Amino acid sequence: MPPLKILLVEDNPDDEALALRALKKSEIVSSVDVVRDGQEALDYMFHKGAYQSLNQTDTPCVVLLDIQLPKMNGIDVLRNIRNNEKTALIPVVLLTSSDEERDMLDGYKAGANSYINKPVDFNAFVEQIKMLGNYWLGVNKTPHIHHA
Amino acid sequence: MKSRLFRKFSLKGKIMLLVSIVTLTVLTLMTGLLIAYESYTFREGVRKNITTTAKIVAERSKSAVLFRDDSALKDTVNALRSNESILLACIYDADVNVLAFFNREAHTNHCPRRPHLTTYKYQNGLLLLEENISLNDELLGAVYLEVSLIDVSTHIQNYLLFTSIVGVIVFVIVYLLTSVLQNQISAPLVQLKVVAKRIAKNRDYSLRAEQSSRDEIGELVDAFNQMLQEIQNQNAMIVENSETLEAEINERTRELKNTNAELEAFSYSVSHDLRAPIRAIVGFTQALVEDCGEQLDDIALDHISRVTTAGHKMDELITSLLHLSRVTRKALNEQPVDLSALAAESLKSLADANPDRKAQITIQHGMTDIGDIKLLRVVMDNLLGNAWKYTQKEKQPVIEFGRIQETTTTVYFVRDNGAGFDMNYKDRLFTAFQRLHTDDEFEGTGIGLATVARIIHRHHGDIWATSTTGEGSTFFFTLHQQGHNANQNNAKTTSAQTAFTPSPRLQDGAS
Ligand SMILES: Nc1ncnc2c1ncn2[C@@H]1O[C@H](COP(=O)(O)OP(=O)(O)OP(=O)(O)O)[C@@H](O)[C@H]1O
Ligand SMILES: [Mg+2]
Repeated sequence: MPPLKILLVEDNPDDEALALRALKKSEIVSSVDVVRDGQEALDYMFHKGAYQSLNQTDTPCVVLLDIQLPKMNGIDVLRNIRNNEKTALIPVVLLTSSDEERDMLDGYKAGANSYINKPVDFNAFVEQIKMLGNYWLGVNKTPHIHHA
Repeated sequence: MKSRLFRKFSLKGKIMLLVSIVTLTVLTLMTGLLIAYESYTFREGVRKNITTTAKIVAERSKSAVLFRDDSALKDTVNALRSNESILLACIYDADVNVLAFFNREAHTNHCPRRPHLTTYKYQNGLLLLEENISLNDELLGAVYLEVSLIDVSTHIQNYLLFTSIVGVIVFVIVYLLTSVLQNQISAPLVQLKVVAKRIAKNRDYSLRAEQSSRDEIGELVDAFNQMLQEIQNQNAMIVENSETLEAEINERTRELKNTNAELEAFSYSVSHDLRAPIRAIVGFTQALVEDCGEQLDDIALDHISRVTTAGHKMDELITSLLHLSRVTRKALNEQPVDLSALAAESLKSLADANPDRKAQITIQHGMTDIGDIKLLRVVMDNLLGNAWKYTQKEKQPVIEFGRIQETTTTVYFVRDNGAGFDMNYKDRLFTAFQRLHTDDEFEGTGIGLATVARIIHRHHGDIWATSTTGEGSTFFFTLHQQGHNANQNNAKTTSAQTAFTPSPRLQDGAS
């Protein structure tokens, strides 16, 4: 079975490293592609610009999307993903460092599937990633295989 | 009564009535006086005439009386017949015997035996008159006449009729003249009234009454117009003031909105940007321990654990600060809130988090009030959280939540028998980051009570506390009660403490 593909949209290299570490620690077998801003994320999703060479099989099975991004913020990226037929059904999990209710509401309104509050405590982060992995990658895997 | 009737008349009516009464009085008085005078002079005229006649008769009768020439006397008497008003004429001799007389048919009087008149007398509408007949001071006899005064009364009647007609004419002229001239007085007043009414109706203070005379009414109109000008000026000023005020309010509101928006943006970015480095610090120190733990000695590990603790503390601080600022920004959503239930929930979660702790908890039942449930939950969590925290070293912790009904206010209180605090610093309790205990004694960030105070103030309430070190503290608060100062609070505190024992309580049991 090919490793599951995860797209991580994160501008902060520290947070990126921590997220990758958490993914590794949560023992989710996956390959992770990382993009650094909103525009790049959309190019990746819609195979444009630098990502023209990507094809349908490269579609990630989950997107971990930071809300605070340079240029286009996470919520707008999410809206674009939801507005496109091809990507509308891809699970998107928002990452944020705030516990602002506003972010959460905006995120769910824009069609986020889940929401992770990046905690200062790294272990708590790993726990959250694990739970997510089990849910989105574990459960959603079945129909995916069915298709293949 | 009369004056009340008078009051009902219009101004014009009053003037007309006044002039009529005066004219009538003057006319009646004049007529009366004229008639009195006329009747007097006319009667005197008649008397003088008759006296002359009597004198002539007496003169003519002298010799006839002296010589007893009766026929001559008869002729003399009969000659008086031509004077219509003479009704009776008698000639006497010195011994008062009637020598001759004539009596008009209709007249029933006869010659009196002895007239005994000095000169004349008016009696029963008659003039009685006697004239002596004498010669060289020797009394020969007398002439006696009775004269009708019918002429006088006819004259007076005619005169009365005449003066009445003149009076009526005068009255009519005066009336007509007055009704024309009274306009001079009443017209400006009526105009004033019309203008005043129109102003009252339309609130148009730019109208002015016309100034038509230089008298008191003119002055009144002037004063009225001045008053209008004053009102107009004041109105303009009020409008101007309210406009500037409104502009100012709008300006302030805009500023406030901007500040709020800035504050919001600020705390939003704080919550995002300030956390990222902490996350990196804590995350990578942990990674360091995990990945290179074997290469580190105990000293290094101790340093690292301090870094991690500090990072966590920093995160906590940011979280509470954000919470504090959010409490101020969010709009209140007020509704009935069961404070007793909130307290029970928050104590339950405290007990769940610390299953090894025991405390005697008392919550008065059914304490509901109006407020924002989310914010009041924060209040209860913090006050009870403090009570829970600062009783942790007691053998038998006691926590109580209740209320005291004062005449105008409901005062809620949270009481514990914990560590207490130094009352000298009670003013610092509600300031952010001010703590009265060290981290070694009790952990905390010092933002809890600041948040509580903000919430209470947003509910227009008050919060204060009393304590005895080592024996426990009581935190009091009210909702919807503006304008308390420290003194009132002190007074309230004493009454609150005396009211403690009798208030009904429900034993919730230890948890
Ligand atoms: N029930 C209490 N008994 C004794 N002291 C108290 C009590 N409640 C508050 N205090 C004192 O008031 C100070 C401020 O309280 P506050 O709740 O604001 O901060 P904290 O409890 O230290 O920290 P946190 O922000 O975590 O609540 C505390 O540090 C403590 O010294
Ligand atoms: Mg506290």
